[in-house]
Amino acid sequence: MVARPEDAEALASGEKPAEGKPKVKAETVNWLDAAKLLFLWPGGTAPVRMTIEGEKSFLRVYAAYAFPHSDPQRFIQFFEGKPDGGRGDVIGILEDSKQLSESARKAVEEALGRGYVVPKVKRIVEVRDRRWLVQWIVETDRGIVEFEMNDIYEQIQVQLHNRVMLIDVHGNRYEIQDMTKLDPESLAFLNRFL
Amino acid sequence: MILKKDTPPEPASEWRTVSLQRVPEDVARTLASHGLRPPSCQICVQSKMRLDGRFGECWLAVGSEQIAVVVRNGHPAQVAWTTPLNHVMGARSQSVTGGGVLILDVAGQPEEVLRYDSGQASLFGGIAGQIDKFVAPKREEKKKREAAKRAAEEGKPPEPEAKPEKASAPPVLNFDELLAKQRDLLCGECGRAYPKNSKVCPFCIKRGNTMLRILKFAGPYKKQIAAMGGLMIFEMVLNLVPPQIMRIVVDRALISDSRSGLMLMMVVLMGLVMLLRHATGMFQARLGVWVGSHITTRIQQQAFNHLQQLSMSFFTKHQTGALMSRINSDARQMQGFLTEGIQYTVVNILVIVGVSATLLIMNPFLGFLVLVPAPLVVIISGFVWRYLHRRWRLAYSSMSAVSAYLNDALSGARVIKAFGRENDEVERFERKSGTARDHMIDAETTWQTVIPLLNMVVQSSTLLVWYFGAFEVYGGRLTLGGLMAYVSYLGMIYGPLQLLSRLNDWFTRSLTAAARVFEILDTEPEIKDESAARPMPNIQGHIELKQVVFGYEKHTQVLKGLSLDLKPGEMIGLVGSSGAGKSTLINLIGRLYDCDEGEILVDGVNVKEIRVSDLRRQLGFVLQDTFLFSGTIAENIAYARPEATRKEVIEAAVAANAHEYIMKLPDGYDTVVGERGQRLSGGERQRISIARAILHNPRILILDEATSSVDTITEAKIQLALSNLVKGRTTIAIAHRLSTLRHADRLVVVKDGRVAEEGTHLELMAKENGEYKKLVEIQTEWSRTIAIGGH
Repeated sequence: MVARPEDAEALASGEKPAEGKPKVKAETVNWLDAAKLLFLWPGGTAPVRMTIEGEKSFLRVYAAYAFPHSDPQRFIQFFEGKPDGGRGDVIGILEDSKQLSESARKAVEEALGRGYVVPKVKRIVEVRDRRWLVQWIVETDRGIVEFEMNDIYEQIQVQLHNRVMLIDVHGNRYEIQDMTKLDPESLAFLNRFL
Repeated sequence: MILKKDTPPEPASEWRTVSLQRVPEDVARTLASHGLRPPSCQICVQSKMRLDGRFGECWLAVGSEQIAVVVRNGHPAQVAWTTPLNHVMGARSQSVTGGGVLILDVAGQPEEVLRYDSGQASLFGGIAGQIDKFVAPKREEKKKREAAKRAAEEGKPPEPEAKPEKASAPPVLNFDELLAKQRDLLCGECGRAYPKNSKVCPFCIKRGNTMLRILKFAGPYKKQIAAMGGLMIFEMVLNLVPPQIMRIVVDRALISDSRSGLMLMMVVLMGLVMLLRHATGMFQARLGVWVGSHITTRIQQQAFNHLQQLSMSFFTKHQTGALMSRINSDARQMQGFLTEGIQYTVVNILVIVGVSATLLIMNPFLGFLVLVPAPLVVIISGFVWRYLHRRWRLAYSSMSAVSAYLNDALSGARVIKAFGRENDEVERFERKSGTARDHMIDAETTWQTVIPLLNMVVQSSTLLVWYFGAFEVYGGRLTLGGLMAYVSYLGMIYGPLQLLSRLNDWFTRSLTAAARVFEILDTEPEIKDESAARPMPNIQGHIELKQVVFGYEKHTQVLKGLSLDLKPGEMIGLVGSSGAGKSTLINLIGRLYDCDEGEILVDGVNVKEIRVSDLRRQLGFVLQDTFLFSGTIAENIAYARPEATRKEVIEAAVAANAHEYIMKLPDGYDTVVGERGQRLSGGERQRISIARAILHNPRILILDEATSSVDTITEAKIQLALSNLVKGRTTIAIAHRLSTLRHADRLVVVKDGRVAEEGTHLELMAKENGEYKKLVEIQTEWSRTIAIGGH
């Protein structure tokens, strides 16, 4: 919505805005230089720390994919952790995580994993068609899990680049990154419904 | 996810009251060793995710003195994390993609203590909310102490303590309500969680019960259905007659020209049978259409009637398209099952039994030859149908993808042309329609190949009958006519046998459709009149909100303890940034939703105790997006009061400044608007909705961004119309454009689900660093920028 001069003027009673008035800022992007980034993650549930060399350190950072499906390696945005554990201000965007060292990449993956709980399906162990519902047992990067679907037309979504999203009756999502790369047995299970 | 079958027995019944699942013995023991045992342990629930995000078994137990997380992944349970409750200063649930995290503030440090999946978000969100509420006074106390300490260090005099408005009781840690709500989300029979937005447990659907419920819809038409069944049986019996006539013709009438009389008789008889068969078929089909249409309409009417009673939360949780499909396709599927499915099944079984008996009586040896491969036919047909079904499903889904694309491309024609993307869109369409074509060809060619093959296999037993039947004829055990009749009967039995293999699929689909329809019928409206609901025909308009807490999803609060008092006839302007909770507030006053905590009083009576129809009749809404129903302008204005006279309609339109433009339309008040009607501009539609509200004459008026998307002149006209409308009514107006609230008696700034400040424009502008002042200054600054930029 575009505000009109006469509205605001009328409201401000003709007074000039005081010093230190709130400003509306245009959004900007802080592109992060991978060479200047240092990450520290002691392991477990400890927070991931991040330092931009010569600039600033952050005791707790979170990360989010800009393109979680089509380009998960690139364009990763970092957020400052708030004191209450929530996401705070945006720190910047890293264009390509491949430019990071292996340990840094691991820390970034940890920061990403905390905000993105979508298990990646490695193998379909079993599919049982129980007339009213379909039961799946799948092996994922987060372990073996069993879930149910009750509307396969809506709960199996084939997306771009052979990516398949399986959605269970509670709305949890399980991602098959590339169905053509599944083993023949898993693919046969999936093909029952495609 | 389901519970593991090998879950150990529940250790003690005491845990049942504080848990949603069976608490394993080792978990109970481990918790008890940390002092967590009912009744001091108030909740103990399982998450299916470990803290590292991997699947596993984690238990969260919250007691009056201790909180603990116990893990149990194939090993005996052990405590992974624990802390005394008095160390906890805050609790929150953080949503992440695909689940959430429970974060506790322990001694000033946020600690992630548990992870959960999407299905458990409301449970753990509720737990976080309860803990946070319980520790809130302690947190405030700590903040005050720290502030006083800082002030003392800086040498400032301590701030005088604000007197509490009312002594409130200290919060109590209590999860009973949360547990009760969560138990409502579990199937009463198997204990598994119901699917999202549903109360039908797919594990526990009973075919028999569902079938009985479907049959109830056919109740009023049972005579017609019985007649249809009778006609079907009669037709089946008639079908058995021609082969017998043929047998007599071959064996007796054709052997000599002296039998021409018998021949004539047989031809006449065959003609009669033919006539009767077609007449029966015709009556049966006509009856089928009549009964089918009545049943479909009955199901649709019941479902629609029930939908109208359901609360807004039902509509926000279900997609419109999915609901439409339930009312249309699922009702039709149920009708097909009732009018055709049951009868075809009965008749086909009768045909199989009748023909088999005839074949065995006519010649037991040949009968045996025919019937032995019958089960094989059923099994092979089952495989073939499943194989074909998958191909058809693929073909249909690619065709619906083409339809969806067409819908997109045609609706977006303006954008396509504006960006010159016609050729790319043609290419996309060719790709999609090409895929659909390939799938269709594949399905059709497979069908055309497999079905003749199946028929050939099925009919191959005819060859056996011809061959071995000939020997029976040679041996005098069967006549030539008898053999020909035999082959005719054989043709009648294979169709029903093939159909038997599809019955299961047909039944399943019909019962699933029925379950979806019953889910609507079984959903209880969340907002309905209590048994002691009070009639309030004349509301004065005094509205009070007391510590109102509400979230569309229970784990994410939108209003966080909002209090407000509106005098009768007062107009207040609600101000605040997007997402602050302004629209939610008016949704609660209109009782489109009920608040989770706190209360809303109208004339001193809780809205939950006021008869819903009385409340709604005296509430008027003018919203940003005006919805006009298909119909005339006059019908749309008189929507809330259909009995209004034409004079009243015109007067309302005049007061809404809409009369002038309506009269310029060729059809005046009879102009048809809505989906397929005359196109009206945003301002014109808005003024119709104001006229609607004026005619409705509500005591409480709600204006939600009523002038946000119109030009200056139209806005002026609408403002003028609104000033007529608000006179003498309690009015709540929301506007981002702050100037539109200049007539308000009072402005209320909502921030983060609470009232941040309230007062007149001048009072609020006088506040240093006030929220309202900031908003005004941002608008002033922005408008200057635009003015300088010349836009």
